[in-house]
Amino acid sequence: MSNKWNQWIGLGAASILLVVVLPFLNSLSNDSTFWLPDYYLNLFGKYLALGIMALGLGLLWGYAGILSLGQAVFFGLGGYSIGMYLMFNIGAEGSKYGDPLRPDFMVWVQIMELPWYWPPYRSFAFALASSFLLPALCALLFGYLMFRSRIQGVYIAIVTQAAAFAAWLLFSRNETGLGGTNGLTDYKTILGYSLLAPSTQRVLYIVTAVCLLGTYALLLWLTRGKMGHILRAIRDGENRLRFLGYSITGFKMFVFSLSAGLAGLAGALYVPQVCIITPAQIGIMPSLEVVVWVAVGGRESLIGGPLGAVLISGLRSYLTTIAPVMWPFVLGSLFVATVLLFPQGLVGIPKQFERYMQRSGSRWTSGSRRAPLPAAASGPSDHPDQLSLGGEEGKAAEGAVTAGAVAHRLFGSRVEGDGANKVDGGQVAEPAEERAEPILRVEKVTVSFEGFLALKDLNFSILDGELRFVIGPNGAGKTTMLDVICGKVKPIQGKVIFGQATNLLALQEHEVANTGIGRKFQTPTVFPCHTVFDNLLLSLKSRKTVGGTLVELRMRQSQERLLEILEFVGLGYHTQTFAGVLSHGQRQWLEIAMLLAQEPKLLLVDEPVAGMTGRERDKTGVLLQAIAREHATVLVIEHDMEFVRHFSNTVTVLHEGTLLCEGKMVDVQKDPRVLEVYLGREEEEAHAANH
Amino acid sequence: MVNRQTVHIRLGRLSWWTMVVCLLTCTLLLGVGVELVYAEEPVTGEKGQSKESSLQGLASPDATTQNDALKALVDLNDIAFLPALTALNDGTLHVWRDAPGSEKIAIILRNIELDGRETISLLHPLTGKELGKLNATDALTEGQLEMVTVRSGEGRRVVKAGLDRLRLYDPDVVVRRATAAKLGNGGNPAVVPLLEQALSGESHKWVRHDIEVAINQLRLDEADEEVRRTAAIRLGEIKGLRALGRMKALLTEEPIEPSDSVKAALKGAIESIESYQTWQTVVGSAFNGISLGSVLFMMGLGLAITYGLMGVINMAHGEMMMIGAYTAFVLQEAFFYHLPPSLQDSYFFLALPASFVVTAAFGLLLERSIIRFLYGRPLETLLATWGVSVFLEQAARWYFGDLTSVNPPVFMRGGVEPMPGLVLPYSRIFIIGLAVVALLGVSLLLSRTRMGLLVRAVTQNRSMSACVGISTRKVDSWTFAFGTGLAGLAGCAISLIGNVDPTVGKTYIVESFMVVVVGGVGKLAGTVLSALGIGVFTKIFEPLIGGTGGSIYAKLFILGAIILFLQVRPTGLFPAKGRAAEVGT
Repeated sequence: MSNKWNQWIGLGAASILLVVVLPFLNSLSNDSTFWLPDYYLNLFGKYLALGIMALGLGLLWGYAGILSLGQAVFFGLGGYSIGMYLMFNIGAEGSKYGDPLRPDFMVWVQIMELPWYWPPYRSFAFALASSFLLPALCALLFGYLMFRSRIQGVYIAIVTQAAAFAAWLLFSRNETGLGGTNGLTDYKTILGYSLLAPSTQRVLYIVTAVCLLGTYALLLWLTRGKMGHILRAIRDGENRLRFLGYSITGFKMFVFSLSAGLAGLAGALYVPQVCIITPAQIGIMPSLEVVVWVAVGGRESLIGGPLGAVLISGLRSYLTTIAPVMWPFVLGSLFVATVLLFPQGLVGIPKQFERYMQRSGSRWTSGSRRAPLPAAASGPSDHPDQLSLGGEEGKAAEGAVTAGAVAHRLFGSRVEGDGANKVDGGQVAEPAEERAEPILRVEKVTVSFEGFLALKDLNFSILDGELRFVIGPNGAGKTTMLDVICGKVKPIQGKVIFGQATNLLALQEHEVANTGIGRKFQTPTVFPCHTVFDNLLLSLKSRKTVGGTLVELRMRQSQERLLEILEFVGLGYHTQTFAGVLSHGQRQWLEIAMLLAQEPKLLLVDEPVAGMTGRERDKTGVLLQAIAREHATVLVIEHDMEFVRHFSNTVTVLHEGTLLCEGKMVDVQKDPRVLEVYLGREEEEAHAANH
Repeated sequence: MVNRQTVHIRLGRLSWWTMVVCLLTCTLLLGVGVELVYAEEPVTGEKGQSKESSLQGLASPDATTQNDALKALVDLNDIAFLPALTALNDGTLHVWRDAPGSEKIAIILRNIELDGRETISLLHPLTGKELGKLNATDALTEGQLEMVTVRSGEGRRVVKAGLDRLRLYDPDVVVRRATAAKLGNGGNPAVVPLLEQALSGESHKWVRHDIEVAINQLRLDEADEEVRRTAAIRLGEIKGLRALGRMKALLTEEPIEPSDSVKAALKGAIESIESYQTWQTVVGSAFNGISLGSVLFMMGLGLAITYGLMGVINMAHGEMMMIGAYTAFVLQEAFFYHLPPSLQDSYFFLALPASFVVTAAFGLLLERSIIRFLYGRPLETLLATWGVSVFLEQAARWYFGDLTSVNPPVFMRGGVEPMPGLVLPYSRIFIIGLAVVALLGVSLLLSRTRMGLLVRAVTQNRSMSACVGISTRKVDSWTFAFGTGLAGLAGCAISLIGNVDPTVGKTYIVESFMVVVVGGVGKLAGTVLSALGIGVFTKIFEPLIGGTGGSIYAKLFILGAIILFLQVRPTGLFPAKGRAAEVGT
């Protein structure tokens, strides 16, 4: 809490300094000792404008993990928007050729008429709106094309770089009517005020500073809440988030568009202060310089971007005046040094130092290196051993009682009374009449991976409220079946119907998740850089669209519900632990908790007890039974036959992509087909015995 | 590049060194082979008599004598006279009074000796042998030399006409063709007999073609209608491109061709030539596209190998190409400075392997010092290598300056001319050949050698390979060096067809990335297809879009098409498969 207040206080102090003190110093008379020369104020104003662009990239790259090497294009769009307005304002008297209709450069290049995109920029309002909206809309379109096809990390960088290159080529041509390589310049007035007057420049500076601070505050507010979690989750585990029901494409488009708009705004503030815009400010090199600012300043925190922008731009101005040849050497070395030595940037240096001291300290004491902690990890939890070691089976039963009670509260039980009597043996009597409806039907599904048939004409169904186990040897197609249900893999034929009529094959992964199907993966895929609580926060059933998230930012999340779920799975003491520090078994439970937070109707659980100890296994089995009892259907894939025998009711055996047999475990174990598949034929055994 | 599960041992396991040596030998042989193709026989006219006396007549102060001597010499059609005539035209033909009473005609050549003195060499006008050498200052002050000048206007005309006529017999094919063209455009029907005479002695296919075009072009202005008609038809048959302008002018400008049958013949010829021109543009563009594709392929191959193996996108790859080009440049300078002209062009044989080795060394250094610390962090590697590229570009600019050029060796100049007007330069053919050699070399390397096996293993499953005992670090270093070396080869190739300057890396890097993105890193075939595709389509769109911005708009169009293509196949044509291939996310 105090950290937050510190931030707001810091922000306030910076605001006063930038917005009030500096312009005041500039407005003093020229002889005063405290006078801040116009040149420096103007320079600082430029840097602040660039800082806005850096904030945008900090959000895009630092939070969402999307490295865009084309930010300068959006900067240019914004800059040219204002530039075109300013060109009109030169007027016939100010220009060389005195043509009332066309700017000078058009006369020179012999463009006879004003192109169609020029006239709207006579209006200041339009130019200003366009400087933000035009880049945002372009980014929306471009982002849609990129993110929809699930282009990943490095490829995004390459494609945006190509786009920057293309934009630079286009803007440098004379026939596009934007001044060619000379750009737009020679501005005289803005809104009637002369651009050369110090007072105008002062006002522009104040406007820039206010915009920067406003943007910072806005982004701070945005990232403090759920949006920040979602963005960081996109960076750390995009696929997982997709299966939680989030439309990743939408979120990425949103953040890409926002950062583009900010870059455009930066351009619009930059150009009146510099009085020129050329294609040299669009293109590959300028885009990479923005990345350097954010990298050097530190991308984990928002302030890093503007900090880096001011410092590096200052360094550049300084070097290009005294030794221009040295600047590219310095720039290149900065890139390399930052990446190798200061990956967290300047902002992260204190933490890096701290960790270094910790590590060397521990080296003295224990004599070995500790494994590096996750990037932003805090200390370990208080009771790490509580769950694994404590408790005999009595405790497991106890756990079941509480689990049942909690589940009762969470899900509103259909079965009156508790489930505590039915713990051992795992044989739960289910009144067949109540649960006759199949909640999921897989019909004649065939999946082919380049000729190899992973599923062949699979027919499978599961009744509402069941706890069904699916077993089968490796390669039987169990995980592939789950992939088909969740929308990750599309079959070449067949149907998958959920509930009464929902055709799952027509939906994308996040849509499937939102219809009420939750999946736990074979290896736990929690978000390691988020706390346990935040992991659940992300999974919570809510409107998982961009709009919904923005609206929710103002609302407080209901903590009780999440804590109940954590109690249910046994992680109640670990709400603030970073998920990366949890043990394997704990992660499995966390993932089950995340599943529960979605309030699913059908849970698909893939190998929940792999890697768990005996007690953890029992607890998990009890958990699953409790869930199945209380109004959700659970499908479990498992290899551990003991576990299956203990907790199962009906078992389905898959083999080579088809359903081999179904029934109670005891019956299945005696079935000769199953024996043949698992153990080999009797003749072969006899053969083996003879040799 | 992991396209096989089993290792074929049919050819036996070749050691890595053998492969590399074979690769380099192939490139050398390619260069030698190209030189042997280039062979020309000079053409001589008839011999004549009493040349010496006519020569003396040239120096006569009397205009008439001079003109007579000139005509006599020119009529001999002897190319031996050409240097002297050229010298007379240029002002380097002099009378040398070496001893009292003795006068010789000589061509002078100014030299600067190594110690800075200016000297003048005197060469015999017909044989070119050196008759003597004088100090510049001495010769002029003592009045030993006097320039021979043309005394009359008529004399100048004779000299010019004589030059044109004699150049038809010049040993250099290019000069003969240019002379034929000039005479054809000159509009003077009187030279037709000259051309016919030259034609009868000419053996080179394309010079004959040009002379024939010139003859027929001149015949278009003859009085006889039948002659004109035949000439027009003939021009259409042999695709006389140079005469196209004249033929069109005859139909549109004054004085217009009067006869209808001739007009019809002209129209037919024009159509035939224009359709041929379109065809020629297509073939030419396709060829240029393939040669551009070859360069992109060599660049993209190195990138795809390192990305597929290590998940590293090397932004400094373009600068590696630059290093290769500069290696060629440095070698050329060294050879030119230290060796006589006859051996100077042999720098090229050394330049190819040298660029490979030098660039590979740089790549090794880069990998060992920077990239290895960034394993598993592709975005950071991208940024660090970009920093390196900025650094290297500035270093090159600082050391070499912005304007350097590598002159292609003599045997690389000129080209194959399969059709009239379409020249396929030897340099580009060589580049295509080089790319083919690189393709074969890399695919054999990857599939038949032990090193290739290791590379494929590490690409497919790094941790398992390490567990089995493969030194993944070594494999990384050497593969990276190899991939970079390929870029160096591409750079050396680039030096043949363009300038070598610090920005050459940035020019090709974006397109090289496109090759990798479109082709995917799963198969070699992907890189080949995407490189060829991008190269050919870019070059075909250039003339289609036309205008000054043709190449730029073609590039933009291709970039847009690639982005749309990525909608359909986001991981490229042949993506890397398998669960272990989730690098780069």
